[in-house]
Amino acid sequence: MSLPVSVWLASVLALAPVAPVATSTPAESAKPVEPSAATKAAAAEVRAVEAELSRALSGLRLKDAPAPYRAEARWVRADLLSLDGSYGGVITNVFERQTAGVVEVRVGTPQRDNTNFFTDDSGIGRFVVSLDPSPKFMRKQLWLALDQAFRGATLAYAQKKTTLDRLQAEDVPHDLSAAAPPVERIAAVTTPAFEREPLAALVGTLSARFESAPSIDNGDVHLQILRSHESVVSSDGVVLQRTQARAVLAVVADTRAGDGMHLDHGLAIHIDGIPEADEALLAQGEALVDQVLRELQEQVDAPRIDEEYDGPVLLGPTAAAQLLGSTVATAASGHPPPWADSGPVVDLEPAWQDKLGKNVLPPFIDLVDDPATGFGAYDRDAQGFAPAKLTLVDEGRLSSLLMTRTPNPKLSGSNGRARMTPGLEVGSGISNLTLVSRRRGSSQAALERELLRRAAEDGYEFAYVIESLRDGMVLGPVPRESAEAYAGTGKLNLPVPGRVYRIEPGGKRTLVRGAVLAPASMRTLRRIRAVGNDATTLPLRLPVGTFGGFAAEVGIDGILSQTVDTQITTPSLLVEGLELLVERGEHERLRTLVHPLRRNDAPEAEATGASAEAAE
Amino acid sequence: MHRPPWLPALASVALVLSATSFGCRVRPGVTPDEQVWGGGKRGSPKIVMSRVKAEKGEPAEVIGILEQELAANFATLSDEELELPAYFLGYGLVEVEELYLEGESGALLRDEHEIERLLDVDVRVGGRSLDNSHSMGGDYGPGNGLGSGLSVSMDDRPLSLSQSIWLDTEEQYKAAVAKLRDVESSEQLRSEIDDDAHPDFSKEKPLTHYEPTVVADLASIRKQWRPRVRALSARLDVTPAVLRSAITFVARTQNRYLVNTEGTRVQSGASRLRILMEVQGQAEDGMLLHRSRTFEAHEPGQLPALEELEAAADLLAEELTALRAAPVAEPYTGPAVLEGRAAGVFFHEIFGHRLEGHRQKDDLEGQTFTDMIGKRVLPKFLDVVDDPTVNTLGGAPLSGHYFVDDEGVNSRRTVLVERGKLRNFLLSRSPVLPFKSSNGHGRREPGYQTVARQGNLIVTSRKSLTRRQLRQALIDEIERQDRPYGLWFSDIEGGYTITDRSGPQAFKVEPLMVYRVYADGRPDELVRGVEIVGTPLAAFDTIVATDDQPGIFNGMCGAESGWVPVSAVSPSLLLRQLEIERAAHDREKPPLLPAPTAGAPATEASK
Repeated sequence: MSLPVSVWLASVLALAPVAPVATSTPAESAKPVEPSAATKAAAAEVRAVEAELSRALSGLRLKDAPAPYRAEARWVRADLLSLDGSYGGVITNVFERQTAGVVEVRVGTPQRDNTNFFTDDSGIGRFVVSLDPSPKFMRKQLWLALDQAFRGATLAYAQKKTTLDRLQAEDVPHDLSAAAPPVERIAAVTTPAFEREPLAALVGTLSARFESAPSIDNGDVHLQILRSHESVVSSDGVVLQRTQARAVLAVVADTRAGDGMHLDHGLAIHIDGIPEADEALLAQGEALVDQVLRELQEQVDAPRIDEEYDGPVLLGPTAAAQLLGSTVATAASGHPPPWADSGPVVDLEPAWQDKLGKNVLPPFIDLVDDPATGFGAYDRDAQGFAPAKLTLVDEGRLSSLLMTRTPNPKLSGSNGRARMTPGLEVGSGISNLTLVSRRRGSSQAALERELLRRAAEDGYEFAYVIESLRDGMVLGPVPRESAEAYAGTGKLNLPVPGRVYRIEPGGKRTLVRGAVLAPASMRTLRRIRAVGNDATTLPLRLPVGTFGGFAAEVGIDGILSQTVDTQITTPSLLVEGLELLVERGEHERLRTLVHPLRRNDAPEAEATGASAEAAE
Repeated sequence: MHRPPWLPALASVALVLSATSFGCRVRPGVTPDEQVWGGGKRGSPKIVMSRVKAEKGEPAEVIGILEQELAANFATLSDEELELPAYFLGYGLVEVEELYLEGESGALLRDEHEIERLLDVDVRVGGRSLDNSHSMGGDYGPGNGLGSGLSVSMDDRPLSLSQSIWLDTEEQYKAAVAKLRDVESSEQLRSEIDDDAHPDFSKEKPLTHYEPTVVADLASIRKQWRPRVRALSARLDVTPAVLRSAITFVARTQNRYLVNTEGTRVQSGASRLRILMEVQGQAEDGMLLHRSRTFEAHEPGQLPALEELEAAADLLAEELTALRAAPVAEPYTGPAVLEGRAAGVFFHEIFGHRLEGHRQKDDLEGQTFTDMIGKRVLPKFLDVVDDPTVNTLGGAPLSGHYFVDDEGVNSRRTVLVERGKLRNFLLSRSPVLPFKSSNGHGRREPGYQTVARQGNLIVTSRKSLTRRQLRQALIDEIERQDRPYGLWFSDIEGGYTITDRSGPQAFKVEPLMVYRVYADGRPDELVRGVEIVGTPLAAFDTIVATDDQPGIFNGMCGAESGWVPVSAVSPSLLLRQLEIERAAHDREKPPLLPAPTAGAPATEASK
């Protein structure tokens, strides 16, 4: 018997905690500790960066152009181990030390600068980072990158000013709010020890379990470990360095149903720290492989949904968390829409931005984001702010947004929600989001009874329970064009349901496939009619910003570098207004060749040793 | 099996040679000498072209796995019950181990040592006269059933390999069928033409060729070269003229395993080492400038000594400084010398690519030389061969050496031009009538369809002068034409040539080091900011003399079948007329602030 994924997640989180890094926080720590040589090297590099930022602010000038008023450098040194096993063989075993750097220059004033405007030019420049700290190298790279960024910022500022002068732009918020109090955290750059070969062997061993599922076409076991040393240094006194180690063990598989439908399935264990190739990981991995294979086979055997459905839907706790990750995580962003030549780009306006003070959820529901504890915990955001617990929705009413230093027309001032991925992207994001019901939750049985009752009112003799959505963060985009449903104005594309059950009065429960969630508006969340008593916490790795959230489908290759850790806690949700569409479209013809594991069942296709010459 | 994104397809019209990845006495009418470059004339140094024999090895275990899968899958795909049965199936597996070091300004930027195995599945449906390889509008894949470049198990795990092979073969077969359908529909819509219908796939004798597996101690090489890369990168960055610089060290072993349904079995390996040094700067007028130098070897012992590399680094920095101060050249037409290595690049770009077999068959190609067999295409004192069997020339390793090509055909010395007359094309298994079979030039990078490519393109002259005489001949020509000066190109970057007939059959080459040579005895003058332009037939017609020293270019060449290592060897050429035009360049100001003078600012403690 395999355990639900969330149970493994809870156990794996404690698997291998990250070793504490050498840190020095003069502003905060009571007892100064003698820094190590590695910490000194990191500090020397930071001083070099500060010197170059300062030189840029005081020296970079172009005639008749605004002066720079803020500059920031972000850089990362990462050790990445990427393993991919398939049918017992290790296909990928790559260990890379990767680096990247980016600078941002703002010209003008905090009230009006070059940012938040679509143009070919910008105040952003990229720079090369050495594998080991090198003040001299860093200064030279920053000198060139800041020069380029300043030129881009100047051009962008001019274009933005022209646009704002031309348009009736009255309610344009300022571009930057107040900085965080100065903070300094220096972390040594160290080289981790990965058990590369034992872990590769483990991945190969796990993937050999696909041999037990000859009806499944293809499968991979991925283990990725990313240990990143990330730095942010700004001209307004923020020096933040941290080292974090994150790993993911994921199993993905795909096959074709009898009607040709290409089905895939994937599950992941998100690990905080560097995993060891031990028995515990092996056991968890085995269970994960077996669950993926079993559930994919169930999908193959499942009938297709036969008609569209717009009655009530019950989302299990996993699906509910995934839905909130696809909607609230981006809709609650406080980042205003960027401007373009023709005005604000309304398509990029977060859906809740103009809903402050209005009802966005039923009055019995609160939404709270608390960075203090949990998988998504952090104590300083990427702009140096210490985040506090934030009630986003109070009794159904939107009371705040996820704010960075970028103001919007209604709110100004950060609440510490600027989060940075190891890939150096900074955007607003959730941390540990909890949906709290002021009403007592119902049991699963009671929820299903209520679901069927409401469905009957809508004229249905059955209803649907969605257990989980397809995890595009592991699997990437859906391999079937027919599964795409495009959103219209103001609607959100939602991930394809992963596991959907059709339930009927009398207890009949049938897994179905081929259902697609129609694009929905955020108003759908106001139609949460009931909640369960089964609140569950789901760790998620989500991209930040407007294009982030669970629907981003970054796939396994980006799941560590393009995301931040978050968690969402929610019970089951009974929702009205979510429409299930029937996936339509032709599927590819079944395969001509016989899978190696099925050859014994297909004597007519056995190897004959025929040669081309004979065929000719 | 995790499928990587498709490799980007290269445009068919622009054939690029990466500069960073890419140089007279009349004698009787004998064929070009096979052993000595230029025939070893009296008074000239004897420059030997050496060849090595492939060692014999035992087939690796993976050959057996590939054979087994080949038999199993081909039995199904060749079934006459299928609407379109396959008539050929080939599996190529390439195992690559690579060390990659990169440094800049004394710091290490990359330090990687990786292994990968890539599978290429080639499925052919239709028949030898018309199959899915048939090019429509310069389409050479991917997506036509030929070449896939899929990552597969690094161990000889039979199930893992067979599952990957199965899945890839299925996809390649479907792609092959779809492509052939398109080809057949397209052919039906074409008007009848008189040209010969060139078949799509030649019949070749099956080859059995097993070399020992190539193994290199990359860990030791890494240990040895890491500090050198750091030190050399620091040496490149000693002058303020250098804005960016880099040194890259790559050591790579490659073992290829090839089986096909015709019975060919090949196991062949090679190792390559490469050092690339680059510096970039900017002139006051905004023009970006760069210099680079590469060193290539087959084994570590062939790499230059550290002192030689240091000298090369110093020279690059000096040349960049000189270029910053050099005047911008004016458009010019007149006599010029292309020094040996530059001449090699020139021939590779302008001539060699136009002799690649597939270009003679594609209607969209310019087909400059398609109907010129037996006719004069170069001055009659020039011969050109492509000879991948040559391992070293005058002791210098040639990068375009290989024993067996990527279609399982033995590499072969091919006389392309003899006494100025065109004799042959570079041929893969895509025949160009009247030639019905391959001459061992089918090459590709994993993931691409194989097409005909150059290996070691070797130009020799029957009318050669010493270097001093060549310079005097240039001066004589300047005076004869009453020009203010002539040009001497000592180094050129790659360039590109348009072979697509929808555009002009022109070439453009970017010179890196160009000097004005004055007839009145003034010193030579370095200039910058020019490009050589022209059309091939006109340009070759003006070659009037050569010197007697082979310039060798080793590098990587990119075209329809990806990047492959090549060499080009040529004597220096005196051209009666060569045209240069001003190169486009940035007008951006150099950095607004002076370069930082030191590393970290002084700390309180150090103060």
